[in-house]
Amino acid sequence: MARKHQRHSLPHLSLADVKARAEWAAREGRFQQALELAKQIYKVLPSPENQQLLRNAYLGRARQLREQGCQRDAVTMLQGALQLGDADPAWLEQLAEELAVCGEVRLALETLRRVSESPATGRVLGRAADAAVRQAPAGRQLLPEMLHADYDRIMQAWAHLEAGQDDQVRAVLQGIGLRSPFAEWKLLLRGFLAYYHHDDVRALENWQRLDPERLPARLAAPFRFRIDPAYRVAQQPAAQVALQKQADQLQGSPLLQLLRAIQAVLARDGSLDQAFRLAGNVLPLLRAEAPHLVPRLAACFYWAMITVGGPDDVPRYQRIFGAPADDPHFYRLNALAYERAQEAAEAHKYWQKFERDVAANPSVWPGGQADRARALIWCHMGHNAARVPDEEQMKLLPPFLRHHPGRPRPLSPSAEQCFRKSLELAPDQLEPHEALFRHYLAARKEAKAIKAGHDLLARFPDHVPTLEAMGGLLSKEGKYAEALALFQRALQGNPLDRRLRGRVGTAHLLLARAHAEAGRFDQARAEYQAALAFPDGNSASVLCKWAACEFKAGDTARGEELLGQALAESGSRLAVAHSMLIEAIRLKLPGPFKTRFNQEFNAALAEPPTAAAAVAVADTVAAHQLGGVTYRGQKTHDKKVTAYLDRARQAEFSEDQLERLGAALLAIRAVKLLRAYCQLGARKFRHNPQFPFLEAESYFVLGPSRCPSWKVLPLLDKAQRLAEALPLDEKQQALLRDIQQRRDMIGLLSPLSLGMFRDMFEQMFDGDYDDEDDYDDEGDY
Amino acid sequence: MTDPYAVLGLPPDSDDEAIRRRYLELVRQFSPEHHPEKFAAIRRAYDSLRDLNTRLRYRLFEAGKHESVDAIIEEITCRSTRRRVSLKTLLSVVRKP
Repeated sequence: MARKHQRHSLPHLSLADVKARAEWAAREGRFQQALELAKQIYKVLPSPENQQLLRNAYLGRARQLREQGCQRDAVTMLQGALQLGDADPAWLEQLAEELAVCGEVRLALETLRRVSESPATGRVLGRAADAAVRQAPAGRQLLPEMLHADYDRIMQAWAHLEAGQDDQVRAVLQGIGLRSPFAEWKLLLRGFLAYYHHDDVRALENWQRLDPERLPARLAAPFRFRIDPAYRVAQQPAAQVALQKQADQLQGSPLLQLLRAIQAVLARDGSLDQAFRLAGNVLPLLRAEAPHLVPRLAACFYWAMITVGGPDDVPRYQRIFGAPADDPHFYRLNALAYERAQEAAEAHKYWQKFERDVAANPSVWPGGQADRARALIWCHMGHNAARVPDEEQMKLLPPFLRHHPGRPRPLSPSAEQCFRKSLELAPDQLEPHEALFRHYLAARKEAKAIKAGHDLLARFPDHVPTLEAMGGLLSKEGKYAEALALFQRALQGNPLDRRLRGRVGTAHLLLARAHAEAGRFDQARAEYQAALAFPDGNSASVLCKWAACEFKAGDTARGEELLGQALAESGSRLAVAHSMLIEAIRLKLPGPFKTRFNQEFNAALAEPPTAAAAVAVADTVAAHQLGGVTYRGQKTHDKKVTAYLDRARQAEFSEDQLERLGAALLAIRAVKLLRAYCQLGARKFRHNPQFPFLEAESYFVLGPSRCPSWKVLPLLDKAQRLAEALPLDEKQQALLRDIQQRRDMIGLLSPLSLGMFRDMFEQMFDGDYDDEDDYDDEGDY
Repeated sequence: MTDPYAVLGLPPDSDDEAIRRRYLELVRQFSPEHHPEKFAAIRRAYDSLRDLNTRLRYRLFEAGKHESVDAIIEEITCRSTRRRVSLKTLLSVVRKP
């Protein structure tokens, strides 16, 4: 004790040092020490700064004592502060407010009277109201007479509320005005009225308006904590613990406390043993108070076993909750747990056991659900099996992975067998049909895919994705008429789809060519005419093809007319000459036509390059390459075009032209030229994210083994930064998605993930990557 | 997301018709303009139960996956009877002035 009260004599320190110590002590909450030092300083030098230091120390110490529950000591401290004889109004208001908080209402009001027309009066009276209610019933005497009526109303309202007489509460509260020091208490009580009627929205509306410094807010806090998740999260951890404790004392039940204990144990992610013991304790209570929640608690444990459990937990679960009706032997639990642990073979075994379980217990799956459920299980197994590379895919892996002892083995039954089994069980369901069709497509088993596609369309004739995919497949097989019919059916289902319209147009062109090659010129003309109805900015190309067809048919005049239209449409002599040269070769036109268009092509190439011609001719090359067109002399033509595009870098490009050219160069894999143009675009149009993104794409098309992630990532970063700065629209969102997809692919660029990268790559670039880039290895481009 | 049956307030053996009827009832009550979060939860719940296949898929692979003790506590808290507390008790529990 003597030590506690010893004086802090500081003979060797200067006044400034002592002051610094006092301020430091106050900052650290050592107000008693701060106060003693401040008194010494003020005694030696009674300056305004030192006076402020002394005031802060007094007030800080008084608040500290009050918060520690030593109200009398706090009042004594404040009386000491009053004896300083200081008449500063702001200081007196602070003292008055603090006195009121401590319950010394009379002294507080006396102090306030020393300040004329103090704006703090309302605050002090509010604090006085709080103190009076806190000290009820004696508190009434603390208040000035003018507040007695409102005080009585509040106490009556509390009594009515406790007795469940809510109408009387409302009636009594109506007497309290908005300016009354008891208005906060009115809000508190109205909040309780709503809370007891489970109207949490209204309760919160009232409680959110409470002054956090006042007593009503503190009284509402445990209840608000219970029903307001945002408020709960906003509290400091220590406050959360305190409020939870208060809420449990006021409204809690043993059930809630036990559940919280389970929650804490499960959150620790350790052994489930303790959680199961707690569940055993809580279950009788839960069954009695909320039996409908028992299955939900069981579900929590079921999934906890899947994520963190072990084999020992199964009997524990069974003992406490019993076996689940639809998984009596826990086969599904094991299957899901093995799936989670990426042990596909074990998961496959357990899914088969579970499927047999479902078949053996149809009563658990009433109304024919059992077969559907089994079909879904087989489908699920098929998808799992399809994720493991089969023997064919294995051959594509590098040797060290192919011969790795830990590599996943193909599952048995295979994906195909699983999907077929699923189809047997639910032949009227779309999902197994589609899964089998997609599986054959991914495995490049075209003949089987076409058969599966026909089966699917026989049951679901309007299934647009399959119609479209089948159209593509049949086109590849050269069955253009059938492909066209399927694309047209798909378009009927989705007439505004631009991509589908483009595919219908292409199908017309392919069919037209087939007719033209076979000498059926009238049919070919009809198809060319139909293709023009789906131009998508490509009508010049259609007109060129049609013109070549007319030349072949011997109608030179019509051919020239169409050629003139193509020139007018395209605006580029080079692109038209190039298209006509290609068509002359592909349709085997007589020699003079080939010579003529070859000369026109060379003449156009010799002209000074322009931006428009460069974009048009690059589009033509890209369209032919994307369409899988090959012809004699193609490589020479493409080299000439790339040389032209290289010279065209001096031309004046608009932003849109550069973007289009970049996309075309990416399509034809002219990667070095693409990078040059991207760098040009990035210099000219600094805010356009497409150029860094296309430059990153120029590395991606090299394939997984040659894609340098250290070059790609900074480009993707830059593209993302620029894209995020763009206005939010569909194009921006699509670009951000593409960037994220490329990032994911970079993440898969580890040797063990190579197969996945290959899959994603094939989906994106049509599986046609090649380590030898077209022109790049042959020369400059 | 918690149990979609609980979100829609339906028993687990409800059929297509009952689920659709309840869904329409709830979206009328909780419009996306006024209750965007609640509406999204209802929509998600309906999507996982809209037909027999989605219900079976949910039952086979998802049922209980997003369940949590926290949600159970929340439900008990919201649904249990609220005891009326006297001022004296309240003041004694919330001691700090």
